[in-house]
Parts: sequence; structure tokens; C-alpha cells
Amino acid sequence: MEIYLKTGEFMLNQQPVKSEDIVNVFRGNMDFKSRYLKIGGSVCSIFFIEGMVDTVALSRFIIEKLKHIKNISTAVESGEISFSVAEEVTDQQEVIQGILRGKTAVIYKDETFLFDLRKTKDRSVEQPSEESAVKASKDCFVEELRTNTTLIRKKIINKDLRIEQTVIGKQTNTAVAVVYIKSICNDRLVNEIKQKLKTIKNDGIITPDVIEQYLKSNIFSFFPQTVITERPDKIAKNLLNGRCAILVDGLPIGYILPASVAQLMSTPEDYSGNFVFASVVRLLRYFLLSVEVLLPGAYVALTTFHYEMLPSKLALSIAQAKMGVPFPVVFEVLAMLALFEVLVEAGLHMPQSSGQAVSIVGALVVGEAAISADLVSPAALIIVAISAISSFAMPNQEFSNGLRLWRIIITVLGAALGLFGVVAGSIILLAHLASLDSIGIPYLAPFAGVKKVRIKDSVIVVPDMINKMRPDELNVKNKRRTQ
Amino acid sequence: MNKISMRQAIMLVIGMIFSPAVRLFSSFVSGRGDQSSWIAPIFSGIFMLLFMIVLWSLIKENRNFYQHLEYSFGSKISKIVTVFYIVWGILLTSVQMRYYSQRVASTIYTEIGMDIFVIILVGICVYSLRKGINVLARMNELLLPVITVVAVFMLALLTPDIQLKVLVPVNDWTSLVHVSVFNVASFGYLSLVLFFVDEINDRETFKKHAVISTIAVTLFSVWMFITVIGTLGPHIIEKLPYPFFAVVKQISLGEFLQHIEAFVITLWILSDFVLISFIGAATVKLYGNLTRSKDVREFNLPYFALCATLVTVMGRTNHELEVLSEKLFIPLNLIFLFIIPFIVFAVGKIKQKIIAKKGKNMIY
Repeated sequence: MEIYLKTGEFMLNQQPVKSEDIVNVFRGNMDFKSRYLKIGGSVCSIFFIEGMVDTVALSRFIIEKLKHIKNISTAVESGEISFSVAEEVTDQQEVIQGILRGKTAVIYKDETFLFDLRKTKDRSVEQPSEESAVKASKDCFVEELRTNTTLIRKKIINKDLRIEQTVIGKQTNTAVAVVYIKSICNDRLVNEIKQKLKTIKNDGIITPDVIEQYLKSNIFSFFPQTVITERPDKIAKNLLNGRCAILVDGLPIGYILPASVAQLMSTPEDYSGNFVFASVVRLLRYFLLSVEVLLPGAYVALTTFHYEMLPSKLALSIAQAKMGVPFPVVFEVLAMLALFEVLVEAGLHMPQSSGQAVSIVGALVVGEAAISADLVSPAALIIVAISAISSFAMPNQEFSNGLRLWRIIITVLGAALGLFGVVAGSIILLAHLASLDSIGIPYLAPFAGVKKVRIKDSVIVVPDMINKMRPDELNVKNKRRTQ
Repeated sequence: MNKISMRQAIMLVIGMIFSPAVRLFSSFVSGRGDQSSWIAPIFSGIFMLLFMIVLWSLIKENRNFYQHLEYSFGSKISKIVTVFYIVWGILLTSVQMRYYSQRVASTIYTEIGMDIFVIILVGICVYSLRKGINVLARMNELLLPVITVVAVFMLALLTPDIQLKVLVPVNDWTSLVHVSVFNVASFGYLSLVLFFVDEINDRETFKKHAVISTIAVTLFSVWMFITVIGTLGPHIIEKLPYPFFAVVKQISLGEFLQHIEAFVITLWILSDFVLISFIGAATVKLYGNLTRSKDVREFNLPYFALCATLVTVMGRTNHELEVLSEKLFIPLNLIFLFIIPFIVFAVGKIKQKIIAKKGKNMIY
């Protein structure tokens, strides 16, 4: 079965529809239901999957009406069967796909129709749980693709908003939508995303990592190369900037492409308050990024190799606190970093109420007890705690996870080679980030690899009336955002 | 091929000038030009602005340096000249590696041999250049602001200690011109842009970027010379292996941080990394041109490994290194960065005129 991308529909290699073939395809499936009606000497076949179809509506609006008709198309056209979502199909595969998606197939004489009588028992649109913002919309994606596209359509009421759909996964046949604004987004970007989606030839998309892996330029990188969000408003804002989005049926998230460090460091909250305050907070975030990555390594380097750089009072106080601790500084720091990771992991998998207990045990019992037992010095604990808190200040947790791994590498290098090791580790990290691209756009854009370095809306937040242009690096069709 | 912009290329040159500027000039310059040495960068800057006419004339043609050599000298001579360039590139990379490792090993890691620093640098350079010059260019876009901000911050902290009386009078103009020649040897790295012409998107912006950056580098150099010479005096600097390092040792940020020289050395490493990687990338690129290889990335590891093995033969002491620089590498820099490009430019022009004349004769 070959699948092509085309606006709003599936295109399949044509095969004529035969009732027997459809029954054969679904033979053995307990939830597959077929009904046969004799109308005017001919047999009318109705196929659907139980549980996915509203059977009351099926009886009332379809079966009841079918008794009095001569053919379906005339009945649909004349309004005898007054059902808004009815499509005539001529291909068997299309009928099978329709039934699998919860549609009802009606085959009568030479005609085959798919009626959308799906019974929706989806989760309702709720408040975002991971990306909350005080002054922003409170809706968030759900598992149903059509609901998610509707949430975006409600925010961008524009004929140029394109939602192109394809099917991915040999076994799961998961619907995947590419969303963009035709009059803004660069065609090259859209085509490249479509090409990348075409390369997915696996069983299916059940978890989010599949899409991410195929869209990454370097799959071994610790860093996310797509921005994942549960907020339709964040997707809408990025679409208006000229980016693309990908929505997957069954996943309550959307992917924004291309991704960059600047994007991963911004939050919806930045655009809902005072821009000066938001800029200060964003600058603080960049500072915290360096604290998260470099502080433990720098502390180990300074206390192991370059203690002369520390003021005598501080050096004395650190040395005093370290008295009685039998382990080297690097061991203290690495042990505390490992313990921190353990606490994070435990907190994630525990129920919410127990999660708090884990935090208390971690912070008070382990931390306090470790100091009292002279297993770690207070200074090492404070350094790791500052670094850990900084990691939580990162808006994108996946990005923060990548940084956390690099933090360990840089700490080890700092322990082995002092500040030289920290600098060497930082250069390697920078080289890695500089080598990444997201759909052809440099990962470090708009700070590096672009025509014009852009501080506006990257390091600092500026009001819409000042920030009149869309991001230069995206090569959008319509560069001006505000007239 | 991922191309870079002219802005990125020029930024790479600025990034690589910082290291030799901080390392060499103060001692060379003060040794020859005495207290008036701080004026030397101005002469060098003016010379560079004039030499930009030659560079622009070569850059605006859609030819990289090897193609220019071929056009001016023909196939055989251009190959010989290119081999000389490659040998110079290898030696220059090795000596820069030696400077870097010696500095790190003799200042903040006195108990560690320099080999480990060379090996780490080779690893970093090869890793950074594995996807081409564009990754290095992107990295430098972030590294250069860091280097600049820290350097400016340090110079600003040292400025109150400047003693104006050690900077004047300016009377020995002849030696000043002589000193400027040394200075220009580092400014001349701008000529390396020629090697990457076919990898640069917007060649037409060369003049704008090059002029602005030359002025900025000149002013920064003057400020640095004034600070270093004005703080310690030319006679003390003359005897110091790392004058800038010695000056920075005096800085302390109140009670918070003292003896930040280790910090300075590590930042110095950033500039060394840019310098060594860029010279390496340029030489490997030239080798690729010579062997008609489209993808030269596979040559990076052997190249840097070869340079690393040559590090040990680049003098035994810091004094030997300085002598080597003064007697060999500065003259070589002048030959390869100024004289040969100028000859290529002049021969190219003459050839163009001859061809134009022949064309005219054929028409009439």
C-alpha cells in the first residue's frame, strides 16, 4: 500500500470494493460487525467496528432511511439520508482504513459510502499540566488528532492554515498531520518535513520518541531537536512566526519545527506579562543554564587545582567544612549529582503524594544526614543544590536533561584537568551544539549560523509593536509580522 | 557544502588574532620600540586597510586562493607554491600548539606535561572540524563575544593602574615602524579568508566587515598595549615571558575572587583553539585543492596528529620559541600572508590586461 501526502485526505492505490473481501479482511475480529439488509431485491452491506460507532445514530439515520431508497448517492444528494459527513469511496483499502478509524461503511449495488458515526469518548480538553501559564489560554492537546487540529484552527482563523495529513506505521496506520501557514512558511521547510516523515517505515507511532528520532539530524545527541508542547497557543504562535507543527493521532502533544536553543529557552509566560520583566527572567534563565552545566565542574576544579583563586576567607571556610570528610571533592559532587538523579527518577514514578515524601527524604534525611555523618561537605551539597535548582528553571525539561548529562561530563573533566578541563568540556559541548541542525536551520540560531544575529525575541523579549519582523533564519515568505 | 558568511569568516580572523596579540606583541614591541610601542598597532592597522585593496581584488573574483595561484602562475608553479603553503601551515600549527601547551603547562599546570594538553586540543579541533568550517564559524560567533567581553573587562580593571609617564615621549619613529612589521604579521591572518572564498556566501560584504574589524582590532590592540606597557613599564615587560599574564595577576575582584590568572589562561585557550583550528582548516583545505579532493574532512585527523608530533621539535624553552617566532615565523607570515598574495594579485592583473589587449587586437 503506497501512501501519498495530500491535503486533507489519503490517496491509495485503487482496488474495487467488494463486500466479501472486506469481510475476509476482518474475519476473526470479534468487534467487527456486519449487517445485511435486503432492499429492493439487492443486498445492502453495513460494516463497522463495535464500540467505535454510535449504534443508535446508525439505526436512526442510516438503517431506517435505507429501507426506502433506490441508491445511496441519490439519497444523500436529495437529503433522504441527511448525514453531514458522508463520502463516496471507490477503493477497498480506503474502506478498510475508514472502518478501522471508526467510520461505517455502507455498500449497496455498485456504490460504497463511508458515514462518520463515530462515538467519541475522548478525554475532554483540559488545562495544561506541564506548561502552565497564568496569563495564557488554558486549553491543551488531547489524544484525538481532529480535536487538536480544531484547537489550532480556532486560534488561527485563516484560509492559509494548512493541515496536511498522512499515515505512518505499517501496523498502526497512525494519522500524522503537518500544520503550517501557506502564506508564511517556507516551502522548503514543509517539503523537508514531509520527506522526513516519508522515511518513517516502522511498525507505528505509539510513543513520541519515534517521530523525534526521524526528525533529528543527530540521533546520538542528548538534546531535543524538536520543541514539544502541549499548548495549542504555543504552536499557533510558532506557526505565525513561520514554523511548522506536527500532530500525531494518539499523542497529546505537538512538535514544533525547526527547533533552536532560543526557542527551548522561552516559555508562553514570557509573552503574557511585562516585557521588561520577561526579558530579565529570560536573561536569568541563560545565566542559570551556565550555572547548571558549569558550576559543579568549576567548583571541583577550583577546590582541587586552583584554590589560590578563591579568597582566603572562602578557601578557609570550605577547607574547614571539608574537615572530617574522607572523600575527595569530585567524589562528593558526583555522588550528590547521582543522588539528585535518583531522587528525580523516584519522584517521577511515585504517586504525587508519595513524591513529596521522596523530596523530604532526599532533602532532609539524606542531605542533612550525609553532612552530619561527614560523608559530604555542606559546600558540595550547596553547589549541587544550586545546580539542580537551575536545571529545574529550564523551560524545556528534555533540554535540561541533556544539560544534566553534560554537567557530569564537565565535572569529571574539571576533576581531571581543572579549569582547563571545564573549558575543554565547554568547547566540546559548544562544538556539538554548533554542529546540530533542525530541518536545515542551525540549532544555535539566532545567535550563530545566521545572516544576522538577533537579540530581539531571543535573549530579550520585546513588544509586538517593536518586533515587527519574523525570524530571519526561517526565510519566510512574508517577513513582516506587524504593519 | 554548508557555506559560511563573510561576517563569520572575519569573526574567525578576529578570534584568532587575540591569542598572538596577547602573547607576543608586548614583549617584541617593547623590546624594540620602547615606551612608544603602543602606537605600533595604528601603523599595522593602516597597512592592513591598504592591503585590503589587494585582498578585495582577489576575493571579488569567484576563485579560491589555489585557483588564483593556478591562474597567475600556471599549474606546475602553483602546485609547488601550494606545497610550500602546506608546509608553512603545518609548521605554523605546530608552533601555535607548542605556544599553547607551553603556556598552559608553565603557568597553571606546572606539574603536568604538555603532551596531554596537545592531545586534548587535537581531539577538540578534529571534533569541531568534522562537519566542516561552518561548525567552527558558528562556535566562534559565541566564543568571540566571550573572549572580547572578558578581555575588555580585564583591561578596564587595569586601566586605573596605567602610568602615563611610561608611555611618552614618542621619539623613536624608525624602530616603531620596524615593530609595526611584527605586529602586521598577526593582523595578516586576514589573508586566510582567501582560502575559503568558495565557501563564503556573501563575498561582496568583505570590505564592510574587514574595515570595521580592522579598526576594532587596532583600537583594542592600542588599548591593550597601553595597559600592559603602562602598568608594568617597557623594561620589565621585555624580561617577562607572558607580559599580559603578569599584568592580569595584579587583578583581584575584591574579596570575591583573587589571582584570576588561571581564568585568563583558560580563556586564552579559547582563542588558541580558534587560531589553531582555523590555520589547520585553511591548510587542509589547500591540500584538498591540490589533490582535487571534494571532501577534505578525512584529512583533519592525520593533519593535526602530524602537527602534534612536530610540537616537540619546536624549541625546548620559551626563549627558543620566541627566537623561532622572530627569526622564522614572522618573516614566513609576511611572505605567505602578504608578499605571495600581492604577487598573485599583481601577476593576475598583468595577465588580465594582456588578455584584454589581445582581445582588443582580435576585434580590430
